[in-house]
Amino acid sequence: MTGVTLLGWAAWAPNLEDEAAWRAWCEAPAPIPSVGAPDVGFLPLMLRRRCDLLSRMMLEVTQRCVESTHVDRAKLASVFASRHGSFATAISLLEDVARGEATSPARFSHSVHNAQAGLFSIWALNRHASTALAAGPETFVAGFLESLAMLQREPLPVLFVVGDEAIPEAVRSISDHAPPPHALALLLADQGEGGRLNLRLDASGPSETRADTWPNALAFLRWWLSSEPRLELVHSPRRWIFERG
Amino acid sequence: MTSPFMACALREMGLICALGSSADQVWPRLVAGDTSGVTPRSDLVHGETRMFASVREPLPEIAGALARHACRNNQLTLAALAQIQTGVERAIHAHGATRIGVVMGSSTAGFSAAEDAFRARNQTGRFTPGFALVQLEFGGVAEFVADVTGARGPCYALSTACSAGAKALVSARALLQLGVCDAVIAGAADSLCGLTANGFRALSALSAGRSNPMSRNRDGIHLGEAAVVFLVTRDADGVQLLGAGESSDAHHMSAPDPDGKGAESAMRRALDAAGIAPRDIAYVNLHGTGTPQNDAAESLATARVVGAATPCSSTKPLVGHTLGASGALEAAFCWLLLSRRRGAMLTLPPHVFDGALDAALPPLALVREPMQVAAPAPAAVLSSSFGFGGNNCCLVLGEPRT
Repeated sequence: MTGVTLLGWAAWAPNLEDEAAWRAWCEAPAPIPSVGAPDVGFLPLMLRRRCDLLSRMMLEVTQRCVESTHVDRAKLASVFASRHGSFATAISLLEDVARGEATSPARFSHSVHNAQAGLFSIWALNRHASTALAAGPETFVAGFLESLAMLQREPLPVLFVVGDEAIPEAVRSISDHAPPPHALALLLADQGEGGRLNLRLDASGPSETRADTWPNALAFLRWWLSSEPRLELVHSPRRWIFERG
Repeated sequence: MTSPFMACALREMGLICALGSSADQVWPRLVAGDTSGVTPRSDLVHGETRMFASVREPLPEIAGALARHACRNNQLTLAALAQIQTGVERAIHAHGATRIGVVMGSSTAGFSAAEDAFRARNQTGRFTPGFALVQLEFGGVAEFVADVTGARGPCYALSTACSAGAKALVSARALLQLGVCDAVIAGAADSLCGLTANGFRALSALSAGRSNPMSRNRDGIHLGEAAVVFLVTRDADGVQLLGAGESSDAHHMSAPDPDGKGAESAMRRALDAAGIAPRDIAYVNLHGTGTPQNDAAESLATARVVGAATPCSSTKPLVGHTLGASGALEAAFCWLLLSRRRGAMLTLPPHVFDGALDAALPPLALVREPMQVAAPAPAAVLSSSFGFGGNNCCLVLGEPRT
């Protein structure tokens, strides 16, 4: 696959709210608290009150990424990736259904996996192509790949936003992973000012699936801010390789 | 780099919906406007009986190594996959498993299994045995397809509400053009569950009877369930995906832009990508949900793009609104009508409604009864899908342009 330019990034997690904090964390990563939420004060109140944690995190990183790169937020294609989406909202809807209680119409319409894509479109007055996806533990890579596919079909920079909430209490007992709440936005383009990188699928296949300490999105950010030439993300049966240049 | 739209082939197709579980079963019932698959159920919306287009035949069981994926959504998917299994095996043999991708659309994943698990926990303190977190993940739908077929290329699920099934075909094509895959299994699956039934009830979006799109008496959707899979390849023969257009409304989370600007933009982009003039579209499969808002916005947009003479129908009165699966299911109906051409004629599925046209809507050439139209080869048709969040996707399917 051809390479891509990373025009800018922004990340958010509890206690990691600006670029300096993230640069320090990437040098010396430490456990991330499981509770916290960005205030998204830039959103009009009507939109803000509809935002659950995932929406807040994804719109926060979107706003900071767009602001720092000086692009027009109405002129972007977008890809939103999350393994579990608005997980707490979805669980609350399931609890209501299981108890035979009435469903909240606003919570239902904001529980769709593309809720953050829709909120972004409404906030940014963005009328371009936008998609939302999930791919289990491979969600970050799948979102990056779909962003390359989006760049190839839309003549615009692509906003790629990935994130997840913590696993809700109700299903924690059956979860084999426990991500901290986090979101990362990358602005990708064919050209422009920024570092170049490419992604490829190594046909030789995986060696072994490693237990990842950090969500892939944060592993990617650590790599991007380091001087390492490549990053391998193994999700059996696939071995994905990010390379600079 | 943005590249000109490379057409691709929808090489094989498998489907299951309220009209049947094979192309041969579905096709005659589709063109006959058979609504017998739509029946009342009282087990989905709390305290109410509503109409649903359910799949009523027994579904294949999911057991053994795949047991963690056992849910109705994946059972439907398995029934559809069986219909293209030979083609998938041929593709894996020809290109190697790592060159075969999977892109599935869904908006319900294993929610019906999760509802059962939560009810069991409320009564006994424990989830149902075998309930797994993956059943709540949209990605699980794609992972299941990969596990069943042995495809080992890129694998993910799109979930953009009611446009997901159409967008899965768009992404599959893009993966071929990017060169990362030589074939992609793409489609969508959604199953009836309490969450969506009660959710649309809460939005006052469920019809009292069968949905009645484009009628002045229309009062909402009736839900359905379906799974559809295509084998998407670079072949120049077979039914082609000629163009696709995506847009966002930037308007409202659960209501379309009333002017239909977003819908219009998606249609025009699809036609532009295909290099086809609106007058050369032989048929439009409408999103046609039957809600007052969708039909008003969509008829404005459709009339602006293809005018009042192009035959149009919504097939949702027959199969229900299958949500994330609808874009793939309606592409499958377009695939069927293109691949079952009779000489110079295409047979079009009828728009089944009460006939009470809404004078407030711009006129469309609704296919009022089973109809054949003369369509010079290569014919092209348009299929529209518009989802929550103002997420729009239109596809142009056609006969090979050779």
